[in-house]
Amino acid sequence: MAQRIVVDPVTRIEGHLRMEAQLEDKRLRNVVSSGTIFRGLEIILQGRDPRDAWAYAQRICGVCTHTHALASIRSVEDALGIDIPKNANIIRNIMAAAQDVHDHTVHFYHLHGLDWIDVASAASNAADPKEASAIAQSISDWSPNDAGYFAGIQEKIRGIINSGRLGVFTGYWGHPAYKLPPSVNLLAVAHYIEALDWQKEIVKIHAVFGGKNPHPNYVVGGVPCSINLHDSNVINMERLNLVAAKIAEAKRFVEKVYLPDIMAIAKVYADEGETWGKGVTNYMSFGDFPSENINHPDSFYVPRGIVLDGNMEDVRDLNLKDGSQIQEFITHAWYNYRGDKSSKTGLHPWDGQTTPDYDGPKPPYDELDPTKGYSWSKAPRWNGNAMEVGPLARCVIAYAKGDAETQEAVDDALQQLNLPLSALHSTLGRTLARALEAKQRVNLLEKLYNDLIANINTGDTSTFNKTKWDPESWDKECKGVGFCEAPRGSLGHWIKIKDKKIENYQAIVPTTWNSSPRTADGQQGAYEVAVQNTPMEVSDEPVELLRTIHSYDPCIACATHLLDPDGKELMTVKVK
Amino acid sequence: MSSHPITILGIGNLVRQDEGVGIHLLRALEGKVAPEIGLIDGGTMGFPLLGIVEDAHKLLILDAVEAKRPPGDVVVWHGDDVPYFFASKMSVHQVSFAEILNLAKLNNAYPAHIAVVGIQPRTLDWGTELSDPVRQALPQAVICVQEILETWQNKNKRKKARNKTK
Repeated sequence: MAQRIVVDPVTRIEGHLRMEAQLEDKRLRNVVSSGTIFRGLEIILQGRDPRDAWAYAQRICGVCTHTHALASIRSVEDALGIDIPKNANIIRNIMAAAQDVHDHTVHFYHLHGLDWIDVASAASNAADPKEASAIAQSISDWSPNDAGYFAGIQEKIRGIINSGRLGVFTGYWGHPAYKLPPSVNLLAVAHYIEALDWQKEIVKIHAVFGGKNPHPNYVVGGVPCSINLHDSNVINMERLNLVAAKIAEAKRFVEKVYLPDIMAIAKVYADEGETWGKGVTNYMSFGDFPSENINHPDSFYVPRGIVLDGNMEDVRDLNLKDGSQIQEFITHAWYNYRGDKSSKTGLHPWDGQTTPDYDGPKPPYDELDPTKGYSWSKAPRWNGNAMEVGPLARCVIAYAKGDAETQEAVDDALQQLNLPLSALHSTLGRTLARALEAKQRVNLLEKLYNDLIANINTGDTSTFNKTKWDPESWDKECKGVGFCEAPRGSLGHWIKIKDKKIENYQAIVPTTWNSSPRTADGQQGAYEVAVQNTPMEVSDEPVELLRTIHSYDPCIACATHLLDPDGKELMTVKVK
Repeated sequence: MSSHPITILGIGNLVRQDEGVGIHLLRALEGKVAPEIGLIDGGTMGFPLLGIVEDAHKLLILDAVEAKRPPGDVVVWHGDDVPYFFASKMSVHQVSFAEILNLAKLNNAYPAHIAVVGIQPRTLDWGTELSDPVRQALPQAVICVQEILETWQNKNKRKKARNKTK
């Protein structure tokens, strides 16, 4: 008998997402992914000074503030034809790489990890601190790793559980989908707590270059910081040494904690590698981290490309300015195009429209109707294809393009897990790809830092190109696209400027690609496809569904956080 | 630890009208509080706020609050009421502010003194302007903040005075 499963909102994500699915024979089918909050940023930006857009764009979201600001200033620079100084390019790359490392690590330990790690098991008598210590020492030389340390952690977890205030440690403990041995659970929870402390440090890199953190400053034309190695008020050697120290700490944490933990956990779950969460297997990366110039994709450390149907023999190119390639559709979203609710037209973001037109059920509702509009997320497509973006997409494209560092990391990890390359197309593959990418980013951070020092030592301290700062120097009408590879995937901001003001602004965020609703041809988005056929053992405990959705690191980008003081439940799981 | 004896942390979303009142209030305080007090725009952030909370000796949070009061009402919570209040406040962020406070407790790094100055919002629609009653409430909220700061600073002074007499 079929049951309707509703998870709303999906927790431990950024933003507001609702998932519905039919449960038949312990498998999920007919999956519906709905973004349940309207994002009106585009409307806010119309009529503003393009140089200020980043400050609003970075407030879309509580996580990727850096990436929205970056995409925004790049869109304006593209429209106005501004090249930024070499130092500015390196500093932006350092900030982006630091964001990736922070985001991936926090995502694993604090948002996604508890889909794999059973906290109650870590607290149980079955979790032996001595065994946890032995395992820790066998996978890494990271310390503390003695039995006394793990016993202390266990005491701490027990204290929290006994207090009855689980807070962040709320979960479906004891669920059959949890498979780690109790001592590995204990090890992982210990590192959950250590990662909390570590993540406070890496963000200091943003404060150095952006003046403050959270919400660092940005500027169209470069970076808002001056470099003078001997001046105490600007970027000097002392601050650069701090950056170097934080990079070294990040490298140690990723290599000695995050990656060994991922491999230890993945070994236990390896049999899921080929069965869970295979998505659309269409992958897209806009590419990022220009070694020279944003207009030369060939110079990107993270390559650009498209892979369709998992065919890694054939990597296609993409063009963000080609009106026929990237288009957004609204037949199953709560918008209209020029008053037409059932418009089957796809609009390129330069001509995009954000006109809300809600035809869903009156809230609170039991069920959405996937034959009508059912999401505030539009349906973006590349040449008509639903795409997956994010670390796995970047990994697949880099691998397919022959990137040696990616190939070596992936081959080595899969060999240890005894899995074929095809196992990447899965929930586990997505989580693994993110960890491997974190390792690549700490290596990149080291290289970028050395590049920056070397460039400053040539006497180049320029950080800002002011030639087009004055709006009088702008064309009457111009348009541009700014993009980056955010931790969660390809992010694009498309801008049209007219008479020195923003005429139109459209953002397609990574999660819009991944959480996309259906299009008129019935083609589903990445989440919907990935959750299809996911097993579900206990009908009111959606551990397996959450594991797959969290593997994408959803970011619904709505960022409202005021609601009812009477304490609505954090999550409703309805079974009908 | 923070170099500031008192940290004022504004949180909220500037592009959701009254949801951003915590940041508007923070900006209204610029130049009106002693220079050694740290003013931090926490925006909509999640985990990056943990370090700020843990480093603070005395933490004053500014935010929009659902207090079931008329729009523009200013509400103050102290001490143990603060985590209780945030715990009941649902979040759609990756991590709620209540969880940040819990994590600080877990790390034994909870601020010695904590308070919230909240303002009841009228609208959370997309937009950058505050609604009239909320904008008009800012001066009163500034006074509330200054009263709390005075209490906290006087405690400091009394403590110093006691230490001197010893």
